[in-house]
Amino acid sequence: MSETPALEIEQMEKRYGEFSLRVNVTVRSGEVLGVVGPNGSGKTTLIRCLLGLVKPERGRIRFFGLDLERHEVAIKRRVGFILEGAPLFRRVRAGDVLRFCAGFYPHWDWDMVRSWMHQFQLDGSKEVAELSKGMRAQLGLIVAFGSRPDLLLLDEPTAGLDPGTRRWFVELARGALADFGPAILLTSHIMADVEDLADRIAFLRQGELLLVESKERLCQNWRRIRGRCRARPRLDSNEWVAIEYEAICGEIHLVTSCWQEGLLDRLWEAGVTEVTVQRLSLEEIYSYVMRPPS
Amino acid sequence: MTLTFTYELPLWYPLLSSAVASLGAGFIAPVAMAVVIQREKAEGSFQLLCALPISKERLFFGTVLAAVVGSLVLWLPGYAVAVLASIPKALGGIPLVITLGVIALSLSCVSASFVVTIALNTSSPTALAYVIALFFALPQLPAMLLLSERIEEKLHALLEPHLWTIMNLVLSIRGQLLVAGGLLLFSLLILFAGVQLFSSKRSYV
Repeated sequence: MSETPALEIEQMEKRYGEFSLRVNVTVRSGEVLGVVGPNGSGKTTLIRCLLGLVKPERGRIRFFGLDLERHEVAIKRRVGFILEGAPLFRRVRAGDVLRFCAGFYPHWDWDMVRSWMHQFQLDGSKEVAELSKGMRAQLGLIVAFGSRPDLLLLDEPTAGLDPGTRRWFVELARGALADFGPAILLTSHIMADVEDLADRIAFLRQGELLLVESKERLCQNWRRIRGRCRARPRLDSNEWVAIEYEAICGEIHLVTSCWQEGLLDRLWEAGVTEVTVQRLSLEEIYSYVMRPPS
Repeated sequence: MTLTFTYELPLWYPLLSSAVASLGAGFIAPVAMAVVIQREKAEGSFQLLCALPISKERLFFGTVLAAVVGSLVLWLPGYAVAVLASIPKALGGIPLVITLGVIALSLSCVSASFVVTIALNTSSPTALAYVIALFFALPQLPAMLLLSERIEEKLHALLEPHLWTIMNLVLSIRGQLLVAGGLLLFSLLILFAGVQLFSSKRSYV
């Protein structure tokens, strides 16, 4: 695995009127970074900035140590991508789309592409418009993976797909990771999509990266604690993401993003008893991170 | 009894048909290309094209070249027929047909560079339609001015002594090269401005 990061985004800012996307993140070689956020959080704008489709107002984007502004074509030869909605040339035959795209990439793997076409029973003589949504998504993925890229930029690749096709996408991406080990930047507003693949997860809300953390650390650091107490305890708000106290039944629900055994002692000192600690699913972590600040 | 057909096409017929076909096709192909570009923009495929590993300059010039080749493919067969048809009529008419061909080719280049430049640099079909209409209306401006009698008189007086010289120049090889060169230079100027605009765009979506 190369030491040079596959992607470095330094202080990038893109503005659209009131909306401003600010990103500062690195994707290591062979790493899968999932960017999650609700609709309108800036995921598609991020991918467009990375592909040179829109130019950010400031900041620096480097792929494999090369500056995007100066080495756009050389970089793109090593980058596979899926754009939002997987737009392909609708009036062109699927086989011709592949032949057209193959011309741009020096490492296009026709054996792999043919084997996938056969595996997914994709008819190359059919026009893209005649293919079903799932088949179009499959064709888009073949275009993205066909060049055996060093980095894949995937914008909502599973949006609108049925669970079976989603499963298929995950298997395909896993196969590619095992085969030629690309780095992947994958965006989605559905946590389950990135849960299976991502090594690290970036949470994007209203153009701001709120948190970038490895999946393991997220699972380790986030806990829900339930307990009982007679009155609302005084707790350090920096240690707790959420504190919900039901005065009638004396129950308290707490969520922390920096779990350690010492927290239990502090709860005990604050008068919380009958404490139970639970791990949070990534879906639950997502919902807490995305909560608007109160 | 024998029935004999005597059918003579006057010389102006192949000349007129070649002129109309050449000029029409020379303008229609770039406009058709502009419509395709706008459609691909609306469907999102243009984003895919811009995201592929191809420089913006190559994408721009490739599109213009496609429009020029498109117009050539459209008008060349009709033009060739018109040239062949004019041969039996009068050999003297051939230079005029060739002149028409050169001018039509040059105008194809001008219209392709202009229309494709606008189509690539704007995302609004309405704006595109207005600009194209304006572009094709502009050459009619001198004709409109001629409607004014005073201007016509002045122009008449100015050009009359030189009319034969001008006609000879236009019909001569030198004149054709001059007109074609001028139009091609105009195309290059449009292309230069167009590629600068296209490559410095802040958004291709």
